[in-house]
Amino acid sequence: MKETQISNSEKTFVQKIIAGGHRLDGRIYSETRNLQIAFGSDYGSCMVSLGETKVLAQVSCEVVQPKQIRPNEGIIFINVDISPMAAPQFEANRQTDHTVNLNRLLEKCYKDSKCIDLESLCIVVEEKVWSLRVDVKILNHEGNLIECASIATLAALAHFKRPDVTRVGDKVIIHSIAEKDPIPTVLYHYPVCLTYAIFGSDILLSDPSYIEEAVCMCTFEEGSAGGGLLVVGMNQYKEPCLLDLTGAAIHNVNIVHKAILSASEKGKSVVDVLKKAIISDDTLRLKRVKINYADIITTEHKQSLIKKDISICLKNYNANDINPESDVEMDDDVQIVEPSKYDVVPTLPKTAELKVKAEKSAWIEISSEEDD
Amino acid sequence: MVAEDFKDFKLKPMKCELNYLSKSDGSAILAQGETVVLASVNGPLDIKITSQSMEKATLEVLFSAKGGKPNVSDRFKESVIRQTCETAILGCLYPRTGITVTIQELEDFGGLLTCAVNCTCLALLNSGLSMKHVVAAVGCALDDSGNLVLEPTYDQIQSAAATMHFVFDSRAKTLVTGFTTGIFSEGAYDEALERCRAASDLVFDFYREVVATYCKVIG
Repeated sequence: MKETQISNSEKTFVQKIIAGGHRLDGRIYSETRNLQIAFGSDYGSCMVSLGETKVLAQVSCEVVQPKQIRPNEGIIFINVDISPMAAPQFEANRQTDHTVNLNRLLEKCYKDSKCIDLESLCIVVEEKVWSLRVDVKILNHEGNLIECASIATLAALAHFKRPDVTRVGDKVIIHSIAEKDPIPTVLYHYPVCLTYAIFGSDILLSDPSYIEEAVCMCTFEEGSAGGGLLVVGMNQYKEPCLLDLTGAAIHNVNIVHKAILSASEKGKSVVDVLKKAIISDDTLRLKRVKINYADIITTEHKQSLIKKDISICLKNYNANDINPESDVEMDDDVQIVEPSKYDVVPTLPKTAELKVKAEKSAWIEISSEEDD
Repeated sequence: MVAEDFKDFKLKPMKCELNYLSKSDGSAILAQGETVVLASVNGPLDIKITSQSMEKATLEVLFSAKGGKPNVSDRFKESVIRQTCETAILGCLYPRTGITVTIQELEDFGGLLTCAVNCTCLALLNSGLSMKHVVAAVGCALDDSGNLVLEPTYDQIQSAAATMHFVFDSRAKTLVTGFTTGIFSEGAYDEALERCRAASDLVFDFYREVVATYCKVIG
């Protein structure tokens, strides 16, 4: 199915409210959506949700022959799969520009930044090395896939443990997890990709939603500065590892600087959350608590259109403030309306004015047939 | 053989959440014991003219394993689920359109395919597509000593002489799909069929329970 086009009225509305300092879901410019990391029963399996965007990552390993130019280094392979599950416009088993771009960004962030100790993955030089394969599956596309997929990849890599091996003469024995404790992957640093949507010349939105992403990429008619998506890869030491811009050229130099400054703070907080999640998962596993994706099934979230699931809300509106009891009694409340303090008073021809009430309000008559 | 003879069975605890994904028309995540599957349904959709059918909706089923390269066993699961869904969905109401069912494996501790079929059925219910009936899948294994084990665990499947899976419809409890592995006698097959048919009642009860809790929210 073709992607649904965004209507002009949606575009102009989103642009207008963003220029006015608001966002559709009531966040402020630098606010990100709620980040949740859940781990599966295997090592290296995790599901990350950023708001409603959901990504599943799974790391698997096998022993292969190393590349000839790098005889003592392991291999890492990242594969991104966007199925029709993510959104109806994606086709099955087909590489699109979107998939290729996402794959390349993740490779840049995790392979080219050299955050994984590949030499520790070597078993026998020139003969046997571990090959890690990261399968990233997009489950739900509600904007900012890159950030969500990168957190999922990092969480899966950091969580993954490979089986231990021993060499006896020429033979290599791979021990199962029950025989010997598995070995975690060595990560020198933890880079994450953070996305910023650029609106106009100086507005930066962190963690853009689906509609914000689409609106910032489209061209404007009035010759105003076009927007774009800026991806900043940042590790916990506040070192940038990746910069990627899609969309129009940047008019203002300071905007990149501003994005990097903001990303350095956010990157660290994301890595902290991730590390905390991995540590708590490890302690649970040590206590032999069974961890399973079945834990993420809740009964709280019932219908996509009720209360907390409203994706569009006012800035100072919190769906949780409303308690269900008051909703039921809404009809009764309507009858006890407090009398208004103001009164509508006719002034000039065809106009009326609000005035502090003197007595009980009554219907007033404004003649519209009067001549000017 | 009478179904009342097998009242002493229990299925693995089931847990389900509908509307798990916001972008799909219908979605469900189902846990049967420790096996977890996520399914999403999109449709009826506009599809390529070459794959359109004049009589009924074109059903496309995708099964995606957790990791590793796609393989033949995934294709087998897809074809089982597609054929099962084709009997259940009233495709003639949506001619020249497509329906896409995507299934993602999350955990496999045995009975992945039965869980996938049940999860797909819940996702279809959630999507609001018209269906002739709902379907329920139940699996069992025949161990070396000839005993039948309902809903076997991963280890039991590995050591089993044969595994049998059956899918029943909700109206007359007739067999919709059946698939087996291994060697077994005709008598064992008949017994397994009757036991699974009796057990499918529990799955249908569970569907009713899930739909009822979600209906309360709407109404």
